[in-house]
Amino acid sequence: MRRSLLVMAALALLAAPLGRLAAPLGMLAEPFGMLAAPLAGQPVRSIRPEEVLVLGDLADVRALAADARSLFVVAPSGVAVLDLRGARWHPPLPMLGGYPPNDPPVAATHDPVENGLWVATRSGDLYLHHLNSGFWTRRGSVPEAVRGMATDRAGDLWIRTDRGWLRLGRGPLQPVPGADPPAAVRRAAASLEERMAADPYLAADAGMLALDAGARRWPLTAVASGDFGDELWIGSAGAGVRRWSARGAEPWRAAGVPGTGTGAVAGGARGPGGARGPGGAGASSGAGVVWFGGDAAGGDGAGVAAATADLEQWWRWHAEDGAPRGPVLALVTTADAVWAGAADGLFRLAR
Amino acid sequence: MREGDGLPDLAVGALARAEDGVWVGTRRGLVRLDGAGRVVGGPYLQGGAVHALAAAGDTLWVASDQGLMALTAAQGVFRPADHPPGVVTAVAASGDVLLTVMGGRLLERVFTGWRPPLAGAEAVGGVYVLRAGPEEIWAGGATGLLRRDPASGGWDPYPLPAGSGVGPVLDIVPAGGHLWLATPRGAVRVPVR
Repeated sequence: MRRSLLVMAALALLAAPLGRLAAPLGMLAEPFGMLAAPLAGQPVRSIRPEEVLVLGDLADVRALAADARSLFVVAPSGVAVLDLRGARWHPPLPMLGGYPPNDPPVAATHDPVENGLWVATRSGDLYLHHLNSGFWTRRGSVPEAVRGMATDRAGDLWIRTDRGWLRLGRGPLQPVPGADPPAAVRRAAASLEERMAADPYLAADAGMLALDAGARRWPLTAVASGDFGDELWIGSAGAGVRRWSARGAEPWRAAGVPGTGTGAVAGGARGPGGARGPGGAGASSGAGVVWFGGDAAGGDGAGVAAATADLEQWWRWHAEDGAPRGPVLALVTTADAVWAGAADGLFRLAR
Repeated sequence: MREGDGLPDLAVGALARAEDGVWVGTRRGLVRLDGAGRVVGGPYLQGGAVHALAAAGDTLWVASDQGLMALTAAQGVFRPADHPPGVVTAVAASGDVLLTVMGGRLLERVFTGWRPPLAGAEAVGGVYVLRAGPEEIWAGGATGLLRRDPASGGWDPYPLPAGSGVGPVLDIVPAGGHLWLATPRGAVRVPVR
């Protein structure tokens, strides 16, 4: 028992950010065997895996997929879901229970037959998230690098690889020979570069972004068709997504927290601009807006984010916006400001 | 704000609301700022790092390398609290309840002094953080959470799912009927039951 606890503490120490080493080092210096006998008669409230929602950096978009109502924004640390009609965020898809670990997504498509989301990873693994049950399952793999995915009207899954197209029937995933996808599948699985080559307005917009010092930090990474006419959704590695059409583009919007880890959290009644979450001020269940401080040291992973407690609205500040560049170690909200204590100083955001 | 702006050190590891601003704990002491960010008090306790702050009633409790320190409005100066000597890494205060963490172990002040390590800390692999809410106190550890039952004073463990890779818990806040946790894997939302 004592040995296993020491191993657990050592693993926790390895996982902890550098700024938080004081506590675990102290722990290791103390023999756990000296602790009092635990929990005689105390109830243990188990937290089930499906009750745990892990929020990662969902602005690092690697693939996009859409159905009639939702845009699925696929990032290495999870999947954000944007309601296309109301332009609000739904809670992200659960990560625990099978989301590909340490294998970045490269393509995605919605599956109307199984009501799920297919995600292909860099290593060629294929995962299906069942939107009804909330679980991920690994359904097979392809030997070549995946460049795009789409389903056809019959429900077959088409996968575009470096060596051509694979058509995968239902049941056990087996390539069907002689694959020749319909035009709608080709269009849906087209890469961003191919879309730009076919659409001079989109190419011009991408060129404008490349000239913008602020915007070019985040390369464009993914594309999906929207639900109206020529609308597209464009994804980026750091800024999230934005809706685009030949008539213009909307501002970027992103869900999720900055960085690979979170160093601090705080609650407040109000968000930026006075936005209130579902709890409102003084709610017994706590604050209506939650603030998150990233623990990444520099780069696009640093910064501060906020969300209403129902996760429908998100805000984010990077170092370029005046937020911490170093790991955030503490957050507190006051009547008119949010304060972030970080490895590189103290930061105040007036609300 | 940076070191030269009045902070005793660049690394800010602890914050607490003050009457008209915030208390700011750094790697080398503590200052008080007004709502506009101007230093209006300190620096105090410059002999070591401030790890956590807890404001309750007219007292500010400071978990620091120098031990548990207390500032009361009446006395106006920081004094060592009556507490076992050593580095204190977390503190929480609510009503008559005062809790600290030393070496990952939970300590609670009772009328006879400080209670030996409470049953419960072992269940979460040692405690990293304490947070006092309006109704209850939560402790975050390497592998889960502990909730102090305000009626009995006992601790209910809430272990995080085994094998989930979530933890240690570095910070906690209740909001919208959930607990929100800061962890090296990202922010984590868990239900409160």
